[in-house]
Amino acid sequence: MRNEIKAVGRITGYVRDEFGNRNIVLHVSDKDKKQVKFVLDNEPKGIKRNDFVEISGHITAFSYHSQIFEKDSYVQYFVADEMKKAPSILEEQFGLPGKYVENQHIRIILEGKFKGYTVSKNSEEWCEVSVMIDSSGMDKRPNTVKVSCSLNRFGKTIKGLKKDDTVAMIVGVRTPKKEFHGQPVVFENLFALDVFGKKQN
Amino acid sequence: MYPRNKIRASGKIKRLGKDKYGHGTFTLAVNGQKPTEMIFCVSNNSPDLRMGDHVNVTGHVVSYSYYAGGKRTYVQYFVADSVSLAKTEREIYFGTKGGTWYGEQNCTCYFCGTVVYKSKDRTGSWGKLLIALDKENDKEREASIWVTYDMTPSSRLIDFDRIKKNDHVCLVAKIFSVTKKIGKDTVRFDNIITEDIAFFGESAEKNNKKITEKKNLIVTKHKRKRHSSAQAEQAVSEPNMEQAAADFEQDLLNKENTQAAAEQAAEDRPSTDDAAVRKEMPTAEENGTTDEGEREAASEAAEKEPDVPKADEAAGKNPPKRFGSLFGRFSNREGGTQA
Repeated sequence: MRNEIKAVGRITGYVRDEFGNRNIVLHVSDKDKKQVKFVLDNEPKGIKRNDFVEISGHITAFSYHSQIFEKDSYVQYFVADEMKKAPSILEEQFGLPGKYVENQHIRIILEGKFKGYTVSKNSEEWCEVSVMIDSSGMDKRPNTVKVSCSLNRFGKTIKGLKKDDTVAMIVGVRTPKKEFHGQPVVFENLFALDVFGKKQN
Repeated sequence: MYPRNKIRASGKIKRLGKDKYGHGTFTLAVNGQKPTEMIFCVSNNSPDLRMGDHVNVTGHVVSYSYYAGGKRTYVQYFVADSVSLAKTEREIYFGTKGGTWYGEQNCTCYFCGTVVYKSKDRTGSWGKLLIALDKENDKEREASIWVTYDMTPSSRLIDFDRIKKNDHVCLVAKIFSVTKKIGKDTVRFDNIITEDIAFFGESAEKNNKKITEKKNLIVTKHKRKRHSSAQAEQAVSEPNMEQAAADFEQDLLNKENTQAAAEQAAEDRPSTDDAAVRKEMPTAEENGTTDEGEREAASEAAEKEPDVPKADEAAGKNPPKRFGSLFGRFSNREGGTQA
């Protein structure tokens, strides 16, 4: 079982989410620019806004019943376990202080039990795979993470899996910005870059 | 040992071939932040490469210039020193063979050398640096490379004007290729764009010394200007010392300029009496007293008028004597209107 996040990017802000958790906003200048929020377990020391950081953490997901809206909601968010300053390229190569950090990326590495998949209503190319991963962090609950997969690329693998088979995934993140009730909302969509399964003996 | 001339690239082999001199080449498609194609020359004993292979390449830049037909032509190309097959992310993270995802592709260059020449383009947004790369030994052939420098205000790089000729710098750059049609031919340009730069060795020391001198100068200036010492200390204790120093100095200069301008304006401003008089008094030309006859009449009228006391003249109640005739004429006219 694996549940890891590895990210390198620049801190653009500190915010508080609707549950009262303190989050950092990480700007990852990859091929397409991303803006990802991480919940902080501990307050980072000596790290300021606009610093480049390396983060290792995990993903947490749960569903809850909202009494205000009277409906069930599903939430998945990233938690930063460790955070340290990322060295610049000039520092790595020449030992001099620099401002540019190479290889900014975010990757989620998951290994867990395959729970099933649902084909998207909008497009037959995409499906949503549910993976039950290890309970990590403070809450000792199992997490079911939902990841979008392309059926054109991984359809054969996914259709060949049975319930409770072990599946491993390398997952990327896309953060499209949409207007929701007149306010801009940044969504964090997970999509599979690589999927492979191991059948249960 | 620091890298003097090094390229690190990862991408997919798009084409294999030979250049016009017979050297083996391959075209590497780098699908990074901006899709780029790079042509690498390879030596004959390079490993077997196939089209579609994902590879990691380490190499260097070769450059030379020649003079022909009354024109200097500059050539630079990339040479691959080592080529190895890239690992998939599945192999990296899980240790299992297979997979199709190779991770992010990029191409980065590391150079260290002396600035030989610098220039700016017409728009003022881009600069160019010619850097003579450091040699490992005397036998090594000299190589100079042109790098492009982002001079826009949003750039993270140090100020272009701070870089002087003969400065020893080390820099990190990215390569972006552009294809342009010149006449009927399609020409490919490989632009080396600076991502980060720093002074190296003696140049760095010199630069630091300059910053320290500037800092001392600002503190002295503050003391002379009787600013609070805390304010001066705050100005010099900023993390980006140079920027802070420049801003603070600019503020001081602005203040001085404003003060000087105010003083100058006060000097140039005419005295209240003269100004009042000039405002009230039309010129001779305006009144049409240019005729000789009228001038004589005016002078006669001036002679008849009693002497004006100096105190009144100073207070601006009565006009000075030299304008007496005109004033008389003007006041008469006013009187006429009232009547």
